[in-house]
Amino acid sequence: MGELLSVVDDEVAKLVASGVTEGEMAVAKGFIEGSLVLGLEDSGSRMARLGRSLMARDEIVTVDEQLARVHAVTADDVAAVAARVFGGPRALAVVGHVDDAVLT
Amino acid sequence: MPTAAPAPTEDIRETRLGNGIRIVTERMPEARSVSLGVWVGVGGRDEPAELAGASHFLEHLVFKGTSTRSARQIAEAVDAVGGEMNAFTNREHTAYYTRLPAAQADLGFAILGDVLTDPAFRPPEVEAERHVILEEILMNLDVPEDHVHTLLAEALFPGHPLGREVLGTRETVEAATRDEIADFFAHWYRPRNLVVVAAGHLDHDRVVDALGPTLGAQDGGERPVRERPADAVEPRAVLDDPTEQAHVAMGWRAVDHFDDDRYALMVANQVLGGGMSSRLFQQVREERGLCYSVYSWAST
Repeated sequence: MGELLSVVDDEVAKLVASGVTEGEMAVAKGFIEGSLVLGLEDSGSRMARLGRSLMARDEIVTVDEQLARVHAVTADDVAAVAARVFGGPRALAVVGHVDDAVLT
Repeated sequence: MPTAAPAPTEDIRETRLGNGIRIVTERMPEARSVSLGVWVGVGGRDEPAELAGASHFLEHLVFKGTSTRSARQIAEAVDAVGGEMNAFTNREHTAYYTRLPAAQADLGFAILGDVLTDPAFRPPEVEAERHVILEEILMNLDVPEDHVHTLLAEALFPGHPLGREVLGTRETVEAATRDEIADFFAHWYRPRNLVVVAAGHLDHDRVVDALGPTLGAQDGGERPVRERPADAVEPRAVLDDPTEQAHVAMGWRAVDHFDDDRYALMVANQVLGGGMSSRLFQQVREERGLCYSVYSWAST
């Protein structure tokens, strides 16, 4: 458990300190854009996409616009949001029998 | 009279009825189905603490029948055309949806319109459903990978309704009365807090017309006023439980759903723990074999 926590903390710290590579950017954006498109072939997912956006922001966004917004993300944007989010305090939740001493 | 608003593309159209309800459709000429969703802008975070779980309890009760339809009639009508009808509740909204063959779409408009304007809340059905929901709560407690997320939400939003489990607790679900749930419905399920979305092989004007006698005939309503949670988080929430595996969730407060950084956050999440090529999967599972399952997710 101690090793797990420190590996995850290290990965988070690395993301904040060094950001992401161009290769990782390409895979991540390709995944998000591709799965968005693949998930939109039936009427239920089209309906849900519009409903979620209307509930959250009162906004209608076309699929093309959504794809363009993902596509426009730069490595600098990712580093900036990582610093913003992971700069805040961390909460840790555990279900299981764990030695208290390893939970930092 | 309905007024048409400009649509962003030729396939998506919007009408706002005079009573405030918004109707948005997306035409998919190649589809053979129609999906209809009625989205209500109320969820777990809008409940008073003593009525925690009311949105979800109500969501279950809506399908238990109206003054003219029984729960069984509703289920049979949908089954008889191979359709589906379901709902879900989360922290900020509740959605009811149906997917039907396009030729039977009017059936869906009629049933969803009816259950969302005239639910009966018959006392014996309320009691039966209360037991169903108590079982759902127990099921969540028995599944540690779900329960750990409940604990994480409480730790990330201590004392704030966003940190509460949408299902409510055993105590609040046992205590909620039929009239409290009916009042919750009467207050929040009104046109200005509703959005109707349909997609599929449809005609926008026909959808608007079909909803006129039910949802179009209601009035009033308001959006819930929401308070931003304080910044402080609870650093640890531990349930000492004799499970074979330990389940661990780490969380940080992220950005809200109006924030322009939300797309960058999606990418950051994908790199960190979004799939089998992600850093966490590779490091924690593939390199070190520390676990079976590891992932990250981001929600705004």
